[in-house]
Amino acid sequence: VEITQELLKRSSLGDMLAFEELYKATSGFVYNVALNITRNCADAEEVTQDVFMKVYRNLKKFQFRSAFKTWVYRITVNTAINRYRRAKKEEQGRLDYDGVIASFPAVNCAAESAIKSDNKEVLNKLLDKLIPEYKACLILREIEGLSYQEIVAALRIPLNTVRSRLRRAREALLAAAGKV
Amino acid sequence: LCRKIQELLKADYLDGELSQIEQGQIREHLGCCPGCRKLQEELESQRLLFKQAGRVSEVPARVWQKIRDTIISIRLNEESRARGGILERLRDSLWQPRPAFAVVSVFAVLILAVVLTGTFIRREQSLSSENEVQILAAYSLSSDNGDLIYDLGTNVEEYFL
Repeated sequence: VEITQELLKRSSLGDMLAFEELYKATSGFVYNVALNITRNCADAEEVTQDVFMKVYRNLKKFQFRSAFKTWVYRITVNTAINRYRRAKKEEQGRLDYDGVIASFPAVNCAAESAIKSDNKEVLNKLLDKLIPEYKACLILREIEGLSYQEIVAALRIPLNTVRSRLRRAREALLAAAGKV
Repeated sequence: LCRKIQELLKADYLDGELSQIEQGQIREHLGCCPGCRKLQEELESQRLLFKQAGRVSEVPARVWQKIRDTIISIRLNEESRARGGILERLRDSLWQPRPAFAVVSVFAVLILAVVLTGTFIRREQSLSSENEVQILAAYSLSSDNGDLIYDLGTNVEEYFL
């Protein structure tokens, strides 16, 4: 589904069918970014719901100064990072960090079969070593395929910060994999 | 030189953000530097890991159902608040709790009470005076109204009269 200004306008005026079209066009990347940041299906679902409720409430205020997708990426990353931090705090109350890593393969949702592929499991364990800001940057680049300029717009950070976050994230992943 | 090249390898070079000339210069360096080439290979295999893992999955259908239900519930609440709002505005316009209105209302109620009480007392008085007249008339043997209520129904009265 193409995201046109007309579709956005209709959605902002409360047209539920238009909003559903908007959801179909964008929910895939929202859910996947959320899942890669939170690494938890229930959290990713919750983040997706939160993101679309924020979009629903604020669509009238959307000024078209940035691309709609960029705006949604920003909301998604911020919501997912907040959710991830909250979940981490809750987990720390129950389990030690190694316990969380060890429990990772037990992620339980429909996407589990895909996640359980060796590469995904390795990647997720590595991603867990990163602070969420670095992780978000790397996910937008490597999985969503955003350019540096798009990441700048989505995360509202300077270009050099995008560069340094990607560099540090990759260094950390190489270190975690014992490659450096 | 290697330090600068390695910084570029970990970001701009890997992500294709360099010009063709800069890329050519780095490729030239990689051809003659085993250390930088090894790093480049590691970074490429890391990237492959992301590509193979890729995007994970479809969004579960229940997510949209929950969003739709929440929106419907918000709209219903807004509509009921809007209806309630009209009634409240109407009530407020009729019942404005201003001191001047309150004083006027109290006086109006008092005057109404006095008038109604006066009317009731006068009516009671007129009723009681009518009763008295009727009682006197009833006791009057002359019986102007022609009734013979106290007539004993014998000829004795006729005899004495």
